[in-house]
Amino acid sequence: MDSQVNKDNTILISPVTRIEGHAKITIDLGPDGKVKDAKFHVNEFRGFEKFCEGRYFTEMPSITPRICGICPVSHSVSSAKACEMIMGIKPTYTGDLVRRLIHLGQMISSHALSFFHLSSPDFILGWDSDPSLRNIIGIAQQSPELALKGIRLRKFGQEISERITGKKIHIMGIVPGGMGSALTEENRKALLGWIAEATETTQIGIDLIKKYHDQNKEMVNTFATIPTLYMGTVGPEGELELYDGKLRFIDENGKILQDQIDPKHYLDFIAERSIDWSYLKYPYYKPYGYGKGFYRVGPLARLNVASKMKTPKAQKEFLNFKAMNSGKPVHGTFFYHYTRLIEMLGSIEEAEHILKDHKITSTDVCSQGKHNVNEGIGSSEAPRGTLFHHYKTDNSGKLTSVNLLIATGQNNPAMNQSVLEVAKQYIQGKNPKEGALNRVEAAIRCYDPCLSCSTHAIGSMPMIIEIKDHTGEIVHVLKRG
Amino acid sequence: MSLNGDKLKDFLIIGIGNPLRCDDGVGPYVADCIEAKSLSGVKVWITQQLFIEDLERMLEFKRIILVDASTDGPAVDFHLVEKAQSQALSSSHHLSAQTFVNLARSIYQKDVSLYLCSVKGSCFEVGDKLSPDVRQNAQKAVQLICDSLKG
Repeated sequence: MDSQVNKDNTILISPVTRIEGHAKITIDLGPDGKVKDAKFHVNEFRGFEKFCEGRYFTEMPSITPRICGICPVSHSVSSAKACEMIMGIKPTYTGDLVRRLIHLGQMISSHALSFFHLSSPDFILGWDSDPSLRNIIGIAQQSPELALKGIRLRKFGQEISERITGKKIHIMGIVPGGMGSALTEENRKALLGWIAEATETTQIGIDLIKKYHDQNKEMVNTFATIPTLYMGTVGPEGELELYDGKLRFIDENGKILQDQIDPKHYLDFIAERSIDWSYLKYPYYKPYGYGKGFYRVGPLARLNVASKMKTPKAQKEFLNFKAMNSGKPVHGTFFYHYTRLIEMLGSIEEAEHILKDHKITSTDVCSQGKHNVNEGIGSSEAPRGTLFHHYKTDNSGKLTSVNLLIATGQNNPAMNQSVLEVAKQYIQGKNPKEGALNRVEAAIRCYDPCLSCSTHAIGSMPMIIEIKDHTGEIVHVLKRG
Repeated sequence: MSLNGDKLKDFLIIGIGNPLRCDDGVGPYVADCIEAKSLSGVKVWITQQLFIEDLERMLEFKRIILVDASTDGPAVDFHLVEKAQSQALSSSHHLSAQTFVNLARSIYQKDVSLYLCSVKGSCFEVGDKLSPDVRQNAQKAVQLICDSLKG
């Protein structure tokens, strides 16, 4: 991370590292040198929504995985569902099951990347450790066995995609009606062979983060603890659902505001407002209005929203998580890490369950249909939160409107608030230590934001932190990447 | 010997780049040219980017040659990648060749024989054609790599 102090007492951190995409943080200081305000800026724009207009709608499940190399499956799944609504069809049993399996693979891959590669260096190597080694290379030097386990866990997630579609990233093969390819018996057995190792590694991660919680209670409990609303997808009994379900909103006390909402009605409950200092919009829960209606999505939100998990090992950890605040929502942003690991554990268990379903290798993977109505909406839980694809077509099936509501965008107001809270806590004056600025970045990393998705922008991921003084002049800049 | 005790395979050529971004596709182009020669003991991969997860499979080979487009430096360059003293890593989207050498040592306790062949590009806009001079230089890269395989 490069840093720069400008004359106007502004700290600029750029680029924010170990996230997906370009971003910048500015921190405004008051006359007393204390943090007055902080903002998380996203400076990219990519325009997928615009240049997809005019394409035939069934191309979208193949185009949209190109938005992101981390969550291409969620884009493809949400897209295929939107197309299925336009066609008035449902996927076959096996097509749906295979899609669910690939989606779980992506969840494992993404969560493993977030925890082992991007975030764990902070708490394994130390917030103030050498920034040039505060990454997976540093982990590899200090704990090579742990680094290898983390790498292999991500590999397992990617291998699920590869063994079904032939590709690890930017997968193809998820199509309206189901899948374009089936899972072979050989590949089914090979994937089952990973389950024990993947479970063990995830459990190591859970033990690691719980130990860190125990040893750093004050820091963990005060790290960007911001009461917000939460949204996530649940099954009919309120169980956590990542692939297909209904929406649930809760308030900061855990009261259910909306339940079993069909995702196609998302615009009845979610509105967005543009802001002048970022390409990311500010979404909010419509009935509460702008500001009061800010909500969070992603692992912490999903586990706050859910009543239970679907699998036994994940359920055991879920009960531990729920006990942290006596069943009420946990607002500490740092707990994104723990909930991410619980989701990963549940994803591995569910993947095993699917791989043991005797119909998973059936070749009846796709149903057929054609253009039927002019509007379709699909959603799924991407690793970072709820993802919506909303298409409108003309009578020939050409797209006239595309709206993509992305998880990172929905977390944008909370990310800004988190940055402010952590900056207030750790930054004093215009020459903060690198470790303090790393903590500000870490608030963003908790959300594991994917700016490539949310701005629909080309993702390479530098970030800037700026500190401005009370006159608005930049007094300190950190740049990286 | 490889990780699982099998005899190491000989050579791995990895062409890196996006063929839909003009000269960025020179790595895959060079890799294709080498594959077309059907050389004994030579395996060819083509990818848009390298991931840490790829390292395990790469270590099954005695020598690895990465072929990638560059934006500066000589028209064609070919050199052994040395281990770096320290390595900033800000992105999960991109890993440098040096990072791979470092990780091979740290995680697998292996000294990997990794070479980088770079071909300088001039156009990285959308398009599936190489610039004429880059196409010429790509042939030089093919020759350099083929010569190195004999050594």
